[in-house]
Amino acid sequence: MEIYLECLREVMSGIPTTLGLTIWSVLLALVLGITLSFGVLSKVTPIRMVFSVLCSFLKGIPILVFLYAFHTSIDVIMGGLDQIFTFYTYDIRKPPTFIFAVFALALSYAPYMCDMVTSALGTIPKGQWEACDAGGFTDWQKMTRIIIPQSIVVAIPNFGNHFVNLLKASSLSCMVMIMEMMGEARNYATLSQKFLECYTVCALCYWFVFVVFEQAFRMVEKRTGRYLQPGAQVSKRKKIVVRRLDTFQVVNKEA
Amino acid sequence: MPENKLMLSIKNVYKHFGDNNVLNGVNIDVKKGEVVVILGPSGSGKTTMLRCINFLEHADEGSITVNDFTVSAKEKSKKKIRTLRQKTAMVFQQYNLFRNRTAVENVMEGLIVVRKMPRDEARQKAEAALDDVGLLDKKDFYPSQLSGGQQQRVGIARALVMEPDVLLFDEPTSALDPELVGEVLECIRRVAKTGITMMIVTHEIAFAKEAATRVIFMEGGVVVEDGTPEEVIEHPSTERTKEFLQRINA
Repeated sequence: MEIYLECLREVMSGIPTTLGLTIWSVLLALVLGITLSFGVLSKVTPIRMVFSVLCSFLKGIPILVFLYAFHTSIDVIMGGLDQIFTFYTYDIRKPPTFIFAVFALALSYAPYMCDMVTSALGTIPKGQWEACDAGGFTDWQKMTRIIIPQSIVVAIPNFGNHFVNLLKASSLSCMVMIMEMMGEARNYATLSQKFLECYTVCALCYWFVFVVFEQAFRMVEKRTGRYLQPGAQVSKRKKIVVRRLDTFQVVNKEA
Repeated sequence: MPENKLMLSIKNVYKHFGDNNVLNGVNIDVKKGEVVVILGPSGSGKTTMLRCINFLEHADEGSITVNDFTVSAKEKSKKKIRTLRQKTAMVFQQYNLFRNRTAVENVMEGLIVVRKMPRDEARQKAEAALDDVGLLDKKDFYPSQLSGGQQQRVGIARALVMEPDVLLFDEPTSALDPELVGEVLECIRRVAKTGITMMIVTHEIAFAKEAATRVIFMEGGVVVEDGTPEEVIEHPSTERTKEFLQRINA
């Protein structure tokens, strides 16, 4: 029993690193993905083609390849950059492992984020765009007030999936000596020679963190999607949505 | 302003989709206060013509003038098109209410975004407009919680509140359940009496007969007949119009 508790403590100590890796790489992947989506949705054919190929290329590479490539060759890559832009105050040839692990994870997930953005925009009915156009909105007003707010609601379930996938994928970074949950578990397993126990605890810990985020995203999903057609939801969800709408109206009437 | 001022002028508009020539030189002049109903079989270019007015479809040739502001197919820019669009308002077949906005927010949106009106003032005007269409009690409902007829009435309020020079209706009742058509037509009828210039594409012949001041019959991308409801509906002069009316009445 003691071995489990000891192991649990070790794995828990890796949670902040795991969350750090996940959150930073999700944010970076989102920024990169949105940037990619501009290219993919471009009206200029050559730009669109270049970005589509880039997306496909990034999608096709396993995360571990990125991690090892950065781990072994980061000084070469950054050394090259260092010669182009001379950094005087800071030696960029040896960035902390954590940073390039974030980049490796983010690069792998950027094309998925790009897909998420483009498909969310694609689900907004043509009529919504036309109603803005016919009203004399500028493109900026149309996007910021109507299209993007609706797209975000559509994208949230997808984003939640990517988030928890990245959470799990971050365990790969133990291969480049980052001591997150998996790294701690492996370390302690080797130390104590109790492999099955340690990895079981590790699995349960991942499951726990996963459930927390899954539920959080589910809540956000329900809150933001309340204006969407109740009839379009699956039957089990329908009741919840309708009930939420009712309470919403009551609140409004009182106000 | 003289009573017979020209509000809308469609000059020599051509439009094709691929090999399909939808509009083959449409010319229509509409004076202030006229309620023009466009009739015609499906595929005759009615809706395309209406959408060319506010450049939801870009005409290949020709020009559109709304209240002395002209945009032609040759000389158009994003800014000019936007100015033209702000002089018109459109009611859509599928309502196209902003799904992420409540009824009252839908009506306010254009006032705030396009007219730059302060929020409170916009809300007051929007509530008055919703009252006009009899939906003040539904102001905090999202479009998905309203019936088709109610959504369309919000759509009409949203268009009216912008005080457009020309109000365009694109088959406003075609997507509705038969029992809901009445309330929307009644609403349009009331709007028509206010003296606003309107152009309505519809299949409701009875409505055209009583509410329109002028009826245009289109076929094959051109205007075939143009006159008072009496002339066009009761005593059509061309064979094609007669045939169409008979088929609809049958």
